[in-house]
Amino acid sequence: MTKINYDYLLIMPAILWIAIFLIFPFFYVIINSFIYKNNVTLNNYITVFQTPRFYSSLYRTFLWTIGNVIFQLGLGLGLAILLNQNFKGVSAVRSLMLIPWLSSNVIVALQWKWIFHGTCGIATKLLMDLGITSSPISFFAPNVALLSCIIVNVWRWTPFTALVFLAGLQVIPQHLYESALIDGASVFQRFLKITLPLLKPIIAVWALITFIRTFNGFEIVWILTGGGPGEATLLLPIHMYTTTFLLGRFNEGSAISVLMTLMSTIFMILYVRMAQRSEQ
Amino acid sequence: MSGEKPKGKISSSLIVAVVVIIVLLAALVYYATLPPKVEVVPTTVAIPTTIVTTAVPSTTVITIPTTVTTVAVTPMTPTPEKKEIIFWHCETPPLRVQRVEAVIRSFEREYPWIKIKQVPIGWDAIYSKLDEAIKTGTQPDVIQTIPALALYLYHAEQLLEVDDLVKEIDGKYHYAKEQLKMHYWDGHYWSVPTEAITLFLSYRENYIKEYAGYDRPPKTWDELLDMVKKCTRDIDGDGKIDIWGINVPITRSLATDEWFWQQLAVNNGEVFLDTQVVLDSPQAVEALKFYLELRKYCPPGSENWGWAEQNLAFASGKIAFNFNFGGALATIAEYGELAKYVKGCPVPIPKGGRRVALSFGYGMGILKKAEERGTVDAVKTFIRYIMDPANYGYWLNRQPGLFLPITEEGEKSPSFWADPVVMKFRPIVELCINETREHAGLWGFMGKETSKMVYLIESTHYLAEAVAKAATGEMTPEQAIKWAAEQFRLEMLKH
Amino acid sequence: MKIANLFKIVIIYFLVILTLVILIFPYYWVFISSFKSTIEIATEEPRLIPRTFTLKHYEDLFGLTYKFHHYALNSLIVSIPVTIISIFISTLAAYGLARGRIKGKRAFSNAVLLSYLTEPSMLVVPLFFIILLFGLYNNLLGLILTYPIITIPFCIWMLREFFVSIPIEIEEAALVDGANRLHVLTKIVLPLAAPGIFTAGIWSFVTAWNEYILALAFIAGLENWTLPLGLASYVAVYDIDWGLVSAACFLYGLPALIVFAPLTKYFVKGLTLGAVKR
Repeated sequence: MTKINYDYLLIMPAILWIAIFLIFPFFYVIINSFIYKNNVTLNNYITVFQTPRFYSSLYRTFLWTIGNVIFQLGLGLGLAILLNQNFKGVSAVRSLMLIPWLSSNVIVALQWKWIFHGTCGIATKLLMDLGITSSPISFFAPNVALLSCIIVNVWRWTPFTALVFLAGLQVIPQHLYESALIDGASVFQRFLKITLPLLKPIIAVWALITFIRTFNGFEIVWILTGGGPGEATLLLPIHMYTTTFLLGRFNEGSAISVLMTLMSTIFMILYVRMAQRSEQ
Repeated sequence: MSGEKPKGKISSSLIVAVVVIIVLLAALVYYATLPPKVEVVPTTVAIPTTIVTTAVPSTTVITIPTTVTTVAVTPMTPTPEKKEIIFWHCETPPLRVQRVEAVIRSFEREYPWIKIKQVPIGWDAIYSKLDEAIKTGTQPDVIQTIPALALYLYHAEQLLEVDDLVKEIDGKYHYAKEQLKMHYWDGHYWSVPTEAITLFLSYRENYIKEYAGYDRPPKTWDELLDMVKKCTRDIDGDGKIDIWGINVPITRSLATDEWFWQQLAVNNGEVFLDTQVVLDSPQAVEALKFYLELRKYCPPGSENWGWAEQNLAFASGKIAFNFNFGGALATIAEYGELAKYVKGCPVPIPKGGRRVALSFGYGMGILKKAEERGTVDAVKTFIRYIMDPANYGYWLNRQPGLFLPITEEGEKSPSFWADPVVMKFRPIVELCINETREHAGLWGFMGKETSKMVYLIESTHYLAEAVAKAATGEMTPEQAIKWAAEQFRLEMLKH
Repeated sequence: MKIANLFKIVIIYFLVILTLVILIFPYYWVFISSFKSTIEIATEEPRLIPRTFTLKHYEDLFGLTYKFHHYALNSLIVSIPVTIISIFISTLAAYGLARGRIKGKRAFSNAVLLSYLTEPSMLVVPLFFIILLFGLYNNLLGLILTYPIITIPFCIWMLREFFVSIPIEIEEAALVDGANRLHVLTKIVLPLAAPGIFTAGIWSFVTAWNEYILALAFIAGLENWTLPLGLASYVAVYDIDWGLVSAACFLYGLPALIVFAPLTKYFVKGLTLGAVKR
């Protein structure tokens, strides 16, 4: 007598939802990217690869992503160590770290757009008052616009990164540090030999998540500069958005979207391979 | 792990959070269901002779008195069939949406069997939204057009010709001839001209007098450049530059397309002439070089600025000159003291250049969809309503000072001149109306025939991109112009 | 020894204060800008302590011109159903993955984790086609149906950790007593996992409340704009009033902060659980 396994019912809604609203659309977009004027053809991909803007935005996206990952991980780790100390009000401070993460991308971008404002902004005034510059500087000039965007994005994500690393730090057994201290290890040695290796799995995973998230990031840069003066901050997701929704070229946009997802997937696979190999 | 886990007790702070949400919800529902505040304007509108200096309140809703009407409805006719019109337009600023709503409500009071639903869509999105609408069969009945948009719809075979209505309105109110041109091609009128917006140069009288030593506005490029240079300076002696000469945009947007085309046009250049792309010319390179010269005297951060920031900078006295459509006048009016010195003049021209003022002829395009839905007559009734000089002013003043009358009778509309902002800047508005009548020009309409592909300028922004490329140093002005011309030619081949 | 310790404490406090200043300053700046008059903002030097004080920006926000309440209502109309759907689907699936006898449980768990990596901008084009296919363009329902895709992976992941950490003996005891699985779920497990479910719900709400790019692509006219779209539009095409934008930012961010504040401790704990499981 076969008993019906009702457990499958539990995961059915999730599977259905993901199938209809994730799997199916992805297949649809892949098929669509091969269609041009009702014929099945590689035309869209050819057009995409022939647009110089595709390559320039890809290059810029790499710059943007790598800059973000380095700063977020580095500053995040430092912040995590700071938060791991025992001082008065430490749990309140830890809770406060969630605020930038809780704020919508729109709010963060608008806040910083206002702070970086060329004539009425506080940032340029503070810099002048502190004597760092003598004339108002433009944070969105072509050669610094991308850096300004990176600053904003790092500001938004570093605290959350710090919390993730903090969780990892708190699991490290105290006695490891104590025995190292007895052996006469310095602060740096303790950090390098105990903290880093034990944190490595978390840092590795979070680096991947940050990389993928930043690579596909759209909202902050879009609201801050809309692609920047000229093409200074035109990232790949922005190129995809303008092609699909502002120029109305849906099939070409599908091709770009497929390529973006493909690239993200390849990064993931390469990364996991690399991580597995290093474990051996 | 499990020892640390909270045991399922719902903390009191959680309850507070839920209560706060409920209170917020209640407040929202209350606000959303509040009836709009309505102010009634007296039925006879006298034109005051003193200039009012109060700022335009942003929450005023003006109702149009219903006794001023020229349409007679005979009591013997049976109630006409109820019609619902979907009306798309691209004026999304809340003030304009609000005032369009006021005009619509007055219209609906007079014609209760017609309901109009306005759908404001931003200029940036209109082309793709139209694409989608055409694909899904959800087009509107009537859409407010500028010539490029009308051409685009004409290509997509969505428009009905409107010769009869245009001739009727011309007979009653007499259109300005230059404006009619912008709605006519292939032997027919494809949109009903309703108004125009025209570019001019606004400046601060006190700045050019004090800092540049001029008693009058600039007439030539050399004079403009000289004044702009002299007005970029430190005025409070702290060693930092406080005011700048001008701002000209370089973002990939309509603002840049327009501002640059204006310089191109006065320098005898054009993008499309008849059926050809004629952008790559020495005149275009000269115009771009002049534009880049002006960029040297623009405020920091302005690489990112569009109309809004630019208008704010001018209104708050940070820049001395600003090319403008009259849309900025309402903002300028809010700055009381500073607004006193704002004056306007025609666009300066180079040696050997021509007097042209960029002017967009707004019109109403009736789509074939209206024929399908049987709403054509209702739409025409609405158009007649707003062109009537009794109502024309209210329609034009959804953004006071920006939308200009283009009919002889319409210029006399009392409701137009009664608006506080129009009154405050009367000389500027009169200048604009004059430029509209005598020197109006628009891309694609400067040649013998209409360049029907001219909507490409607005949908692709290659012109703006060329300016940006030259401004950021990615290309030289010559290369940038050549690049844009090539891109336009490629696009033309695709269609 | 004591001096070294004192030095360390001073450095720590200094760094903490520096961090807090960097973190909080933008919010402070936006907060006071929302009370400055437009004239002060545009014409005078930016000051840390405002010279003028006005509530005009907040009044304007709720007026007919900027319709903040209208957009907020739209955002609520989207966020609340999305939260309910997310909680419902995630709780069931998470419990199934934690306790159910399902073939390929691990594979599915990993797949769920992988879908957490998807960013909305990856999804915008695929989902757009679905929206068009179902005729949901410019319809808030379209958002309600597509947002759960973003929220469900994380919720399933987090709730699974919660369920797994509930001692299985409690459930087994109930099963032995003759209760069926559903009973066990609703009467016993859910109350124990309530904090986790609340957290998942609030997180879903905040995610839906903050989402921008999907709404940007799927909604056309002003009528159906959600708050992020409305907010972005205040940095408008023709007119900019930074005081008003500041006020809007402040009001928009406030509900998310208030709603999330009591949960920060749980959330940080949840991260701990998740991080360790790796």
